This record gives sequence, C-alpha cells and structure tokens, in this order.
Amino acid sequence: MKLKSNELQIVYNAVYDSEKDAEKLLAVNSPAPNQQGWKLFLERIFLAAGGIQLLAGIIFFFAYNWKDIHRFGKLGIAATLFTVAGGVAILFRNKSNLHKASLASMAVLVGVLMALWGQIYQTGADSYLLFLIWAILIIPITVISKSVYNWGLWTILLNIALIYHAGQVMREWFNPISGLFLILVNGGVLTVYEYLIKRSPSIKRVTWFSSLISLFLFVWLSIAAGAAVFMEKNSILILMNIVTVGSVFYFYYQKRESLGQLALCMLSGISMTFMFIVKYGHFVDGGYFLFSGFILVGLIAAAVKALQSIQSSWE
Amino acid sequence: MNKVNEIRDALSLTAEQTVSLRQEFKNISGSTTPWYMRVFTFIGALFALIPFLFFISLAGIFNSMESVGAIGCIILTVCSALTYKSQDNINLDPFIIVGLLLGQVLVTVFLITKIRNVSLSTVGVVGLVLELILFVACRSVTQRFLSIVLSFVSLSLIIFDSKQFSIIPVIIGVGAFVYTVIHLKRALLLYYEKSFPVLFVPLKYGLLIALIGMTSVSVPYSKFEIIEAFWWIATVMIVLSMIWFLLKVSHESKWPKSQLILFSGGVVLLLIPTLNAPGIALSMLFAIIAFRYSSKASLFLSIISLLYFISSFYYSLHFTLLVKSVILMISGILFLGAFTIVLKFWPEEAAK
Repeated sequence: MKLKSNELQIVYNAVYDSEKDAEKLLAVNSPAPNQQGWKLFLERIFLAAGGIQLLAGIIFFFAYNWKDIHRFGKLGIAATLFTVAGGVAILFRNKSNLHKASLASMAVLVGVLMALWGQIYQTGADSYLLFLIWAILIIPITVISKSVYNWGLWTILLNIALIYHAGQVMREWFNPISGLFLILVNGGVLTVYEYLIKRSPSIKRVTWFSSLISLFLFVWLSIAAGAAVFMEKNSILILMNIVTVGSVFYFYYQKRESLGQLALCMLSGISMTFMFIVKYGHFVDGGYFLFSGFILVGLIAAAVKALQSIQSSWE
Repeated sequence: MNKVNEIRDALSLTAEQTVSLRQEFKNISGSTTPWYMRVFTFIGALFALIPFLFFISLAGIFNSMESVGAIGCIILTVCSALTYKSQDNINLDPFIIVGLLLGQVLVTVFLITKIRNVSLSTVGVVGLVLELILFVACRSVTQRFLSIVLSFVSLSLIIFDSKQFSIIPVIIGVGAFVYTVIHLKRALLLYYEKSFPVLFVPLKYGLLIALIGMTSVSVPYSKFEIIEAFWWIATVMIVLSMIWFLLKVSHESKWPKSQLILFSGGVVLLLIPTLNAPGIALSMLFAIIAFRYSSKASLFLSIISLLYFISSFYYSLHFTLLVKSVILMISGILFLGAFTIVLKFWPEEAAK
C-alpha cells in the first residue's frame, strides 16, 4: 500500500489519534527495506563508484602519458580494455549487474577505439559518421545485453549522428528531413520496445526508458513544429506532429495505460497552441494576449480534468 | 472505493473506522494526482504566463512600478485565498499557479527596480518573508515547493550582500539536519501537526533542490572559492545527521551491530578526504534517505548531484594528472573491495 500525502492525512485524521498510531501508519505506508534490499543498494553503489573511479583513473593515467605512447600502444590499450570488458562479461554472465556493466563498457570502448583511430590517422571524417558507425557497430553488443542502458546509449548515438548530419551535411540544423528522421528513429525505437514487451511477457517493462524515448520524441516533434511555425519550413511537419501525437495518445490510452505519456501528448498540444499564439500575435493588442492567456490556462485545466477522468476510468 | 478496502486490509481497521474513512474519501478528487501531473500543470502555467506578461506590458502597467507591486500583491492574495477553495481539487490548480507565478514575477520586478534605492539585503528579507508567508498561506503543493526554493534564493541574496559567507556551511548543515528530521520524526510531526503529510512533499523536494543548489557554491574554481576553508563544518554536520539516520535504520531493519559499524565507519572513512566538499556527503545522505523511503525521484536527483560533486572534487584537486589518476585508481580499488566484502560477508540468511 502506498498512500499519497493527502490520503495519509485523511486516514490519520479519520481513524487515528496518537503518535504510536502515526508510526504504525507510516510503517505500513513506507516499509523499511530488508537486509537483502540494503545489500543490493550497497552492492550497486560500491560497484558503480569503484568501476567508474578505476576506469577514470586508468583514463587519466594514459592521458598523462599520452604524448609519449606509440600509436599502436594507444590503440592496443583501448583494444585491451575492450577485451577485458568482454572477458568479464563472459566470465560473470550469471551476475546480471556485472555482466550488463561490462557490456555497456564494451559499447563505450568501441567509440573510444573509433575516436582514437580518427585522431591517429586523421581520417577527416565528419563527426556524424563516427556516431553513426559507432551505433551500427554496437548493435550486436546491444542485442546480446538485453539491457535498456545499452539500448538507451544506442538511441542517443543515433540522435547525435542525425543532429550532426543536419549541421555538417545538410548545412542546416533545422531542416525538415533531419527532423523527420529524428522523429522516425525515436518513434521507431518506442514502437519496437512496446511491441517486444507485448510479444514477450518475460521482458520486464522499464518505465524510465520508454519515458526517456518519448521525451526525445516530443522534444524533436516540438522543435520540428517550431521550425515549421516560426521559420516557415515545410508545414507537413505540423501535420506529422499532430499525427504522431495522436497515435502515441491512442496507444497509451487504449492499448497500454500510461498517464505520464498522455500528459506528454497534451503538453505537446499546448506548446503547439502557444507557438501559434506567439506567431500570429498582434504585439500592439493587449486584449489578444489576455484572451490567449486565458485560452492556455483553460486548455491546461481541461487537460488536467481529462487526465483525471482517464485515471479514474482506469482505476 | 477499492482504495479504502486496501487501506482497511493493510491497517486492519474496524468496521466503524472503515465507515468513517469511506466518508472522508468521498471528497478527495485530487488525492491520487501523480507528481508528473503537477509538473505538467507547472510547465503549462509557464506557457500561459507569457501572454499575460505581454498583456500587462501592453496595458502600460509597467509604467508605474508602484502599481506593478500593488497588482502583484493583490493577485498573490486572491490566488492564495483560492488555494483553500481548491484544496483537494487539482482542476483549479492551473489558474492558481499562473496567478501565483504572475504575482511573484510582478513583485520581483517591483523589488528589482527598488534595488537602486534599497539594499540587496532588504530585497532578500522582503523576498524571504513573502515566500515564508506564501508557504504557510498557500495550500498549493507547487507553490510550497517554489516557496522553499525561493526562500533559499532570498537567503543567499542577504548573505552575499552582507558578505557573511561563513554562515553558508552552517545553513547547509542545519538544512541537512532538518531534512533528516522530517523523515525520521514524521510520525511525531504528524501527531502534532495534522496537515504535515501535505507539507512533507514540497518541503522534501524544496529542501533537496535548494540545498544542492546552495552547496554548489562550495565547488572550487567558481566565484565562491573565497569561503573554501569553512566547508568542513557543513560536512561534519551532514555526517552526524547521516550517522543518526543510520542508527535509526539499523534499529528498524534489525541490523547486527557489526553491520552498522561497517556501514557508518565506511561512510566516515570515505568522507574524510572530501571534508571540504560537502556536496558529496550531502548527496550521500539524500541517496540513503531516498533508498530507505523508496523515493525514486529523490534517489535519481541525489545520484546526479553525487556524480557532479565527485567530478568537481577531482577536477579541483591541486595535483598533476598522474597523481589524480593514482588516487582515482586506489579509491576505485577500495570501492571494489567494499563491493566484494558486501557480496561475501553480508549474510544472505539475515534477509529471511
């Protein structure tokens, strides 16, 4: 049982009246973790702190001596670390956390190796190529890992590759084609993730992962819509924004209940309305802005009311 | 009414208590509002604030600063009163939040224009009083959270104007202690103040954000390096709060004494080298408390701040890269050793 703060207040006021009662109520509402829970907490903290500091120490050590190391030595160091991480991943494949941490290190080290290669041999390649090839090369590791951390890294790399592609190849940071691809990539990852969860009940749902990808998706949708509204880019992006937001809303309303995702969809709609208000505002007419302000507040209130009704209907 | 049944079963309530509870639960439509709905309302309110500010600007209200201040105060009073009406009803929240934000922006603009005539400390004192009044008077969770954060901002204005920097570590230490108290003494506070549960959430998150923000001035190579020498006071106060918290937790979770000594000793040993970086101790305190109370959002925030303060600590060390790398490797190995100790020696059967 997990009560919200005002529910807690109501329960206490309605049925209890002493400090002991309050203690009992709070103990039931937020029970203390058992020893196993504390053990897991400490294990994770120590492993993360130890791993990160040791890795940082090794990186600092080589950074200090970097100029004096031969180019094969530099590549050899990165390759050795990659192999060690791979070895740890194989040796400890039953220790879930260590296995996943090692595979994540391997994925990062692929990027380090590529960056080193580019630095030593001055390949002159664009930055987007580094991130794109990095994302392609780590696909096997990511698939094997079955870890949302690796999939998160993979998605971030693709996002960065597309952003650099827009700036370096398309020569225009806000261009409709790159915006379209960014929306497709994030929308695609979200769709595949939800599909896999539906197909295989053994896959545990990680809420933060789908929320993160949705956040990326909605940020790009809003930027694309902003570019369409303010910079008069291809207005098809506005249509795509509406269609994508509508589809996401339908899915998380009808198929998989998620109030957070619905709130994101509604926020996207409100931000779009805001953009239109600012774009078509007459900056001499105070009444227009007063009216618009009330429209926006009304929209938020209506959205909150709708979200509450949806939540009640689900309950 | 499933919730009431759930509560009845969990707390083994009598039939009479259940009926009484059922009556109370009829009127709380906003009770199950998730936190992201409040974030949603807040972001939406920020969007709506801009057209209102355009309106006020175009209506010429900014021409007279006295009228800006007066209108701001009127809006704040009306919206604070409205929060009593919407106590358990989130539907009115967007209107109230926009009004409260607008009122605070107007009062801030009024105060900033008055800085020419009055000192920054006076502005800080007025801001602090205003935010404390709003915290007590408003029944909006969002506003209460903002009030805590803005109170610390006002306090910082007073400190920086009066150049009493040495008080900052003490404020951080006291803040950490208060944060620990509101968690450990929640039952007592609930007994004495029946509305404490609704004050708890904004107080918790407000203190967490404000204390992390205030501690960030301890990071060397920033403008505030001048007060570096006093930071150990904050660390000591935070560690004392942490040990107190661990004592209570060990009692609650029935840890053997050896485990408590191992845990507390490890924490103290770890924090000795970082005595002048209170951010590390503060983030650790927040993380331990967040884990105990299964607060995912607080845990996330404390881990992010821990990463920030640790990296700032290493960055600020006046050593060569080689020495830094050796320190990092040794501490990394020590942590991995601690991991092995926990893995091997923390008894599995104790969980049963």
